[in-house]
Amino acid sequence: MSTDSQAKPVRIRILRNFTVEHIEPELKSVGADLGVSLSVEIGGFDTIQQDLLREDPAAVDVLVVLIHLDHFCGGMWTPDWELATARKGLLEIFGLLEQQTASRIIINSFVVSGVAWLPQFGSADYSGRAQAVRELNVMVREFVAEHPQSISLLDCEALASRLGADAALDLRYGFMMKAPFRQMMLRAMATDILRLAACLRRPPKKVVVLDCDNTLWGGVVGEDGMDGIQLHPFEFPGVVYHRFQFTLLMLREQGVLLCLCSKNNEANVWEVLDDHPHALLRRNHLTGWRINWTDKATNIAELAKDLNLGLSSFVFVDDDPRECSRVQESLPEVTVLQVPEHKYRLPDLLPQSRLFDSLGITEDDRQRAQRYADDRQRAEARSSFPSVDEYLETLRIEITVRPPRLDEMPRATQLSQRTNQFNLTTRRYTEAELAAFSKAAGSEVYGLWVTDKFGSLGMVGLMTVHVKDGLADIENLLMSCRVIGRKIEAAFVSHGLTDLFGRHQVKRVRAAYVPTPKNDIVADLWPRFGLEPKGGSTAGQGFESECGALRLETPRFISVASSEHDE
Amino acid sequence: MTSDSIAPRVKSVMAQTFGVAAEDLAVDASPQTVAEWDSLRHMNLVLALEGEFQIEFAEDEIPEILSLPKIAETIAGRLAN
Repeated sequence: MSTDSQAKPVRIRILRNFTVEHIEPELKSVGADLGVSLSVEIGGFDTIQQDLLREDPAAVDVLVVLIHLDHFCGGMWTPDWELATARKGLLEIFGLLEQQTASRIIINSFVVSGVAWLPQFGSADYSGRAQAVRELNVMVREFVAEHPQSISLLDCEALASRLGADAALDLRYGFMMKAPFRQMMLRAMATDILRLAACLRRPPKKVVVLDCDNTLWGGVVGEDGMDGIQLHPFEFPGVVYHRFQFTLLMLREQGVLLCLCSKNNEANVWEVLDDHPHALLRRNHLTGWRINWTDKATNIAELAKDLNLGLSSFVFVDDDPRECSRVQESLPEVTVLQVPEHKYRLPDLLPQSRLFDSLGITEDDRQRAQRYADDRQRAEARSSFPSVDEYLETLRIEITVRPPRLDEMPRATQLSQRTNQFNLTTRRYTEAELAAFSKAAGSEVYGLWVTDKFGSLGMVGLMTVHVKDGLADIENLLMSCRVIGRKIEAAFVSHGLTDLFGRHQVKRVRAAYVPTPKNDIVADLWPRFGLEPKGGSTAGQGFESECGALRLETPRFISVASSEHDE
Repeated sequence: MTSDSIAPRVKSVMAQTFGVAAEDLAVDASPQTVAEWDSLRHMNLVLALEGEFQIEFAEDEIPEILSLPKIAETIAGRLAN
C-alpha cells in the first residue's frame, strides 16, 4: 500500500432514481474501516439521464448508478406495463454510460420488491414481475460483462438475498419516501462500492507465502506421515484444508504467485505435494520455496529477491503465532495472516482479507505464474555464461514499441499501478486518465513488448510523453521488474524517442526522476541517455537536453520488430 | 407513563440522531429550531424512536410528529393504549 495513493481521496458520484442519501454515512464509515478516504456527491432525484449528459469526466473516480425498478420509466406496477419499456430505458442509460470516462462505473442489479414475491408456492409468479426483474438482471450482467475494463456490477440482487428480503427492504419508507432499502442493505452496498474503489488506489498483493503443517494440511507431516495428515475433501477437519488449497488455486488463476516457506524436511513436503491423493496444490503450482530450518524472515526476504518483487506485495500465512510475529517484526512490509483459531474460517481467510481484490483479471494475470516458471529457466541458463552480454546475446531478445491498442489499455494501466522499482516518476494512471492522455494533442503513449527464446513476456513497459512548443516532456517511463537488467530500457527509450521525433517537432527533451523508497535503481538513468541534470526540486530531479545531445543506442543483442502506429 | 416523563428519553434519542448535545435542544425543539432536522434525518429519528419505545408509528403520524412535545405526546398516547 503506497502512501501517496492513500492521501488522495476517492471521488464517488452517485446517480439514482430513489432516496439513497442514507448511504453516505455508511460509505464514510466503511471507508474509515478500509482506510479509504473519499468524497461523496449524490445527483438529483430521478435525474440519472440528465446527470449523465452533464457528466464532467475529470471530476469523479467512481460513478455509481443506482436504479430501483419500482419507479423506473413510469414504474412497473401497472397492469399494462411491458418489459420492453424497462429494457428501452436501461439501454438508454447503458448508451450514456459507454460515453463516460470515470475510472470506474458501477451499476446495480435489481431487487424484486413489493408484492412480486408473495404467493410462489406453486411456482406461480402471478404478476410476472419477478420473472421480468430476473430478465432485466440478466441484461445488466451482460452489459457489465461486455465492459470489464470500465464497468462493474453492484450485485444488489445477491446482497438482498444474502441479507434476506425483509432485512434488506423497507416497505414503509419505500412507499412513503421512495427509500426502499434499510440501513443494513445500504451498508452492504457501501461495502461493495468501496471494495471496488479501494482497488483503484491500492494494487493487489502479488505473492502468498505459505507455511505447510497445520496451514496447507492438518497435522505435522514429519511426525504423522503422509497418511496421517488431514486433507480429506469431505471430512472435517481435512475438508477445511482441502478447501483452502482450492482457494489458493483460484488465486493463482488470477495471477497471484504461490510460494512455500516451511520448517520441514524437503522430502516430506514433496511427498505430500507430489503423491497425496487429495492434495490440490502441486509442486508445479509453486513459483518458489524455502523448505529448511532457517529463520522464515530470512527465507521470505530471499524469495522476494529471487522473484524481483518488493516485500510489500507479499502475504505470509502461518499457524504459529511466534513465526507470524517474528516475520512481522523483521519484515514490517509483509502482510502477515495467521491461520484462524476456528479452523472453518481458513478457506475464507484470503478472500476476506480483501488483499487480492482486483477490478478485473487480464490475460497477463492468468499467465503470470507460468511466466515466472519460464524465468527460473532463464536464471538457470544465465548461471552457465561468463559475461552478462554473452548471456543476453543467447536470449534472442526482440522488442516491439508502439502505442497500446484499446484492448491493451487495461494492461497498460495495470503496469502503471503496479510497477514500483523501474518507475521514474511513479506517476500512476487510471484507465480513463491514460485514455485521455493518449488522445490529447501532442501526447504519445508508448508500450513495450518483449519476447525471447523462452517465450513472450507480454507488455512490460510504458512511456508517456507530451510535446509542446518543441519541448518533449517525458511524463513517466516504467518497466516491469520482469525485464530489468537486460539493457532493454536503452532500446525502448531510443526507439520510442526516435519515433516521437518523426511525428512531432521536437528541439529539446525533458525528463524527471522522482525518488521513492523503491526506485533507486533508476536514479542515474537519464544521464545515461545524455540528459543533463536541470531544475531539481523537493519533488524530484529534472533533466533536460537538446535532441542532438542525446545518446540513443539500441544494444546489438536486441532486435526491434516493426512498430507501425495504428492510425 | 406521561409525556413529561417520556420527553427526556425522546430528547436523548434526538440528540443522538441529529448529532447535537441534548442541552442544546429546547423543550419545544422542532425543524424550525434544529438545523439538522431535515426530512431524511426525520426518517432516522422515527426509526430510532420506534426502537427505543418498541412501538410503530402510523404512516399519517410520521409527517405530523415534528416537535419534541408532539412526539412525546404521541408516544404517551400510544403507550397508554
